[in-house]
Amino acid sequence: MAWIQAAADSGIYPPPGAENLVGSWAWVLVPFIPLAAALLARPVLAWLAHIDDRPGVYGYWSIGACLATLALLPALWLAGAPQGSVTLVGFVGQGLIFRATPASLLFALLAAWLWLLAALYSQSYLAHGRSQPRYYFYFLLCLSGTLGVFLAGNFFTLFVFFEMVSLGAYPLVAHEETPEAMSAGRLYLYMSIAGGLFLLLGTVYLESLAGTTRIGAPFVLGDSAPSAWLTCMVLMLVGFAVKAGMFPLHVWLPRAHPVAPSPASALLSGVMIKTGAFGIYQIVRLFPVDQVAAMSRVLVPLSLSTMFLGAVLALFQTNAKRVLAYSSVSQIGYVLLAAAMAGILGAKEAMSSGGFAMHIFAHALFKAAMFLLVGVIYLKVHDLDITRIGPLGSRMPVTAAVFGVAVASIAGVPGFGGYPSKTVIHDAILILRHDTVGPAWTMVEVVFTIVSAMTVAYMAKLWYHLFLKRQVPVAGTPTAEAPPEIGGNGEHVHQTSISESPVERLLALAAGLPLVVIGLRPALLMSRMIYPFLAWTGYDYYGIHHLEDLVLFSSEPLFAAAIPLALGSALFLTLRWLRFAHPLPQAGVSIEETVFVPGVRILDALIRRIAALDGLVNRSYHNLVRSGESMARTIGALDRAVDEGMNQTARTGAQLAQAITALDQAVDGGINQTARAGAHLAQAMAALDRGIDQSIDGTVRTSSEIARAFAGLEGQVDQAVSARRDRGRREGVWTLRNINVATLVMAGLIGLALLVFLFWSDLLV
Amino acid sequence: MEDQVVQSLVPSMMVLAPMVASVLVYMLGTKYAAARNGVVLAACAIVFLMCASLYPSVSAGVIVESTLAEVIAPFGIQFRVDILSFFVAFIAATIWLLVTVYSLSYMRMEHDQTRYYAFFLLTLSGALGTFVAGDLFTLFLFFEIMGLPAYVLVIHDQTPQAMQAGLKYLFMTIAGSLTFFFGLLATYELTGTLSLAQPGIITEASPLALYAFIAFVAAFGMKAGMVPLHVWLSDAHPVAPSPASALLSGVMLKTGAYGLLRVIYNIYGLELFRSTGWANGVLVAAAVTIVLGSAVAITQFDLKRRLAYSSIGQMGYILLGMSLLTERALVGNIFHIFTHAVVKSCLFLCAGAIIKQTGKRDIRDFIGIGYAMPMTMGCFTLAALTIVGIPPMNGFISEWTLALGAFDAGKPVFAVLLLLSSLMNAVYYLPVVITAFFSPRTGGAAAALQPGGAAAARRSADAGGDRKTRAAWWRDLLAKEAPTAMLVPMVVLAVGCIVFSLAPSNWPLRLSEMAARMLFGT
Repeated sequence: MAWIQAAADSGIYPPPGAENLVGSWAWVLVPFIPLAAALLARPVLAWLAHIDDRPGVYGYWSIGACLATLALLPALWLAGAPQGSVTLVGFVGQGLIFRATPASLLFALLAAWLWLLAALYSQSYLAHGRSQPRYYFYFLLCLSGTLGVFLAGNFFTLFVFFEMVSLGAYPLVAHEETPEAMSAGRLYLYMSIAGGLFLLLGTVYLESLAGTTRIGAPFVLGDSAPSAWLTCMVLMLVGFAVKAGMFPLHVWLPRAHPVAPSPASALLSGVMIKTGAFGIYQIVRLFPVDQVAAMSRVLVPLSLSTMFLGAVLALFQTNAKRVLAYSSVSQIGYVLLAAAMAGILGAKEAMSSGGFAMHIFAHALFKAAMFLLVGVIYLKVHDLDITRIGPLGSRMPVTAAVFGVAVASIAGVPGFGGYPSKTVIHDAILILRHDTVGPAWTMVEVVFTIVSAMTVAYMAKLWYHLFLKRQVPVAGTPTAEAPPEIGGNGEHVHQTSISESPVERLLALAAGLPLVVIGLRPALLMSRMIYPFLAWTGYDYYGIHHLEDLVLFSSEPLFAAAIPLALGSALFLTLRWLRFAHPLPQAGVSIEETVFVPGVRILDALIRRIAALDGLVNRSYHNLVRSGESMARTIGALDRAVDEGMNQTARTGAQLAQAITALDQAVDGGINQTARAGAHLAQAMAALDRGIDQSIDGTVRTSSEIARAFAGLEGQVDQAVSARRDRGRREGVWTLRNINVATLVMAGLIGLALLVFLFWSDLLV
Repeated sequence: MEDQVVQSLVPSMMVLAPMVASVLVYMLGTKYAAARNGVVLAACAIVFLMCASLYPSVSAGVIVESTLAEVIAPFGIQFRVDILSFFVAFIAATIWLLVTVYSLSYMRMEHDQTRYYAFFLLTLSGALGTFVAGDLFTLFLFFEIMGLPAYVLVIHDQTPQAMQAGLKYLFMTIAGSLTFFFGLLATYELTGTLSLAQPGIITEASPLALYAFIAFVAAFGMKAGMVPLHVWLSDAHPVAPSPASALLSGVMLKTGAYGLLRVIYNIYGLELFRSTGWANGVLVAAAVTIVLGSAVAITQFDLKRRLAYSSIGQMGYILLGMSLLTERALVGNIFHIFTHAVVKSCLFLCAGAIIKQTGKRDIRDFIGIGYAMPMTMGCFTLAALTIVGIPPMNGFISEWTLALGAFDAGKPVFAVLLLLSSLMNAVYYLPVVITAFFSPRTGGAAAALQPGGAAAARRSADAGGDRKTRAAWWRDLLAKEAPTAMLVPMVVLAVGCIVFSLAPSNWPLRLSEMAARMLFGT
């Protein structure tokens, strides 16, 4: 049996030459290289080479794995086969399908590059941390999962790898094992698992509706109800939205990202949440058009809320990593807005899809860079509070500059990485505003501009506090709270001991370079990555031509970008004037507090109810047994009473029988005696008669004869008397003579009855 | 297509061998303890090999039959091994063999080992006999042979709790067998046969048929831990010695599921259920079982009680799969019999190792246990993830197939229920893992990142003692790990949770599909 099967996969609109399949199977290696590296790290390093106690050895291992992955991708590209699908037959029951397309390549390259950067940064960040093997194991596992999601050829495969990312990220979030990290990790874990189950349910539903979960040709509505498709889509959407951090499912994100080690945060914010957005995009492109449009109309306000909420909250954070985390929420809102607009625009217009891919790319690069640089800062000052850090600008000039590039990118300054994508998304809004009647899209544009302005403001604030502002110890802030090396006033420490190493400068430049390249030469990204990506997600030339015609550095887009920049700068300056660094009181409404905590509490109460039900069942059994027991006892008592009665009766019967027997014997004896006495009497009478007869017949008999006769009578009587005396002596002795048949039968019957009674009583005793 | 049938002595011998061995064990007694243990191991190994030897013919679609004796006119002791019987019997034989290996180490210092092993083997004989029974009477007979000796395993420790739990078990077992007997009589009255070879022998709905069905559901549901007949389970499984718990949860519960499967598909038949909807009763009971088992497990903090309630929930999956009456659900059901058998045995064996080595039962006390017993907790983690249904473990495949079956049956609400239960599984399994491997520590990695902590760490590294203390640290860790004889079965079972789904051909899934096809007659 072939383990691996490759097949031509033409995508939706195949470009010419799509039949080329050479080397397609090698695509399978891409997600499995990091997985194998993760699994082999400990066996090789600790058990074979015995070098696991050398510092950083797991880090070097991971860097190697990331490099290998990254190197493989261009090699595959050059092999000329970025099209086709590869099936691992029978794996995980159903078989895993990977799809080798330019779209997959785009995201895979992005992921591998950022993982490499993060691995390099992890080396110093974790230098003295514990649990390094664990960290790097899950670090590589997440890379494998992310690549799997991007390469998946069906939703089943996508789900398998999606879960790998979800669970694999937990140990990264909880890495520090502080109570905050544990609690944030818990929230993350359960929300991810719940989201994963939604996704699984949706995927199963899809399999049952369409008979396949293939990512390729759009699904056909078929004879299933449109509402079924909508349900299926919403289920999957919820699953992806949890991961992406879409309002109102974003609550885990601002808690989990700041507590993770900075390189892990960079990946969580930069890439892993994009797996969710990527999934949403796949839904939008593949599901039946009408349902997608309906869903997208709900998705638009949700993504706008995500953008707005994230930006507002980011504005009021003082913890640098929390600013970045909320910023991620806000920026993923842009990405989701682009996906939703792509759903509304359909296959005719690729503008929004292009914005989607570009913004994922740009955001991943600048957000990862910011998290990594904040990590470097944290390593030096051991603090994340921007009201205490700084000014580091003069001590860490390269860091400050690269951070500045990232800030300029996220703010959408022309010439930096975020500008093209934001412009494209903005243009998509313009197209929709132009195409539809009513003020809805004008409102969207206004919100878009306001959020962009706020982005400028909070990012400017972050950069200003980290690198420029001289911190004044705040009255009332207990300085002992600060870690010892910083002491009462951090500036002196900073100024004396903090500097950048050449490696750090190099890494910072590596992180910042792509942003500048994209910003200055957007066409490079567009032609190499975005157009092929669009072609493979179902857009033809007519869909793409608006995007191709867009001139980024012309007056209209530049003006559109200038408005939020101006507004944002004004906002920043105003707030600075208001000394806003001290956080405004947190907004009273927290989704976590108002929705999730009560939800969990209700669930908890429900579970307790169910547990009580179990107790009830158990108790009812006890009661049943107890009542059965008492019934058995009653029956036992009854039984004993009956038994006793039977015995009593039997005894009475036996006594009666004995009495009757005695009576009978007595009667019998009496009758016999009487009879015998009668017989003797009769004999005596006969003798008397004979005597009288003789005396009458023989008158001549002598008186001696009379005397003899009398003597004979006397003898007879004597005999009779003595016989009676003898009988009296022999009474009670059974002889054959005095037992008659009736007596025998009677005694037999009584004996039998007795036997029965005795038998019964034996049984019962 | 007519099934090909061959006569063979193997099934009979397979069932009788443990019985004979059980007598031998008693004769050898404590005086020849080593020989006795050898007999136990040999008996289980022989059973395993005999069972495996049936595979070539059974997988080719041949049915192996074996008649042991004609007892009373219509009732003989007949064995009939088709693909389903083989699959479950093979699971039982494998797990028994592994648990025997574990027991030999676990029970070494225990009292009354002879009694334990004798009844251990009797129970094996009963379980195997139940799985390979060729008619309902034989099934009944061996159901009893399994159920009653298991009492002795439950009360092995003879503590008051154990005696009480044992009593509960005994009463419910006997009540169950009486209802089973009623069903048996009713079936015979209705059809004049007790054969399990046909796809349904009761073909017409009648009140008596319904009563008999209710009786069967009560009897097998009792054994399978179906709510509301589950109450013995959560008491009996925790008090039994851990290897016995593993068997009770891993294999014995499955006899109930297996019996019900045979009743539904071989006594009554699909058509009858499709027209009458009787199976919906089981469906509802299964739904309640899933929710109740998983929910109550969350409230338990004794590890073994949590596992026992988890078993109740998981048996709900199995009952659900068989009563949805679609082929994919049936595949999921049979596959989940396998999944759960492997997983729950593994979990109970791990629990036994933890309790034996640390004396801790309360999961809130498990802080850092993952570092003391890395292998054990590793196996536990793998098994726990399997039950939660994380891909690519077996549990995920069961869940996927069962959920698809629910959609096929047009009852998506049960798919929702399954996934809800998965979430609850996560809620009660993952904290055990998290407590074992992660725990909020005041120092730890966070402290090392602090300036002072880092400096201290560097100092100790500079002192050069790092390597030595590290080795000593490892030695200390592994000193607390369970002995190898206990580890091997756990590791084998844990590997069993994942290895099949990573192979190009998922062997148990394929067997499940074949069995489901056979029951569906397609």
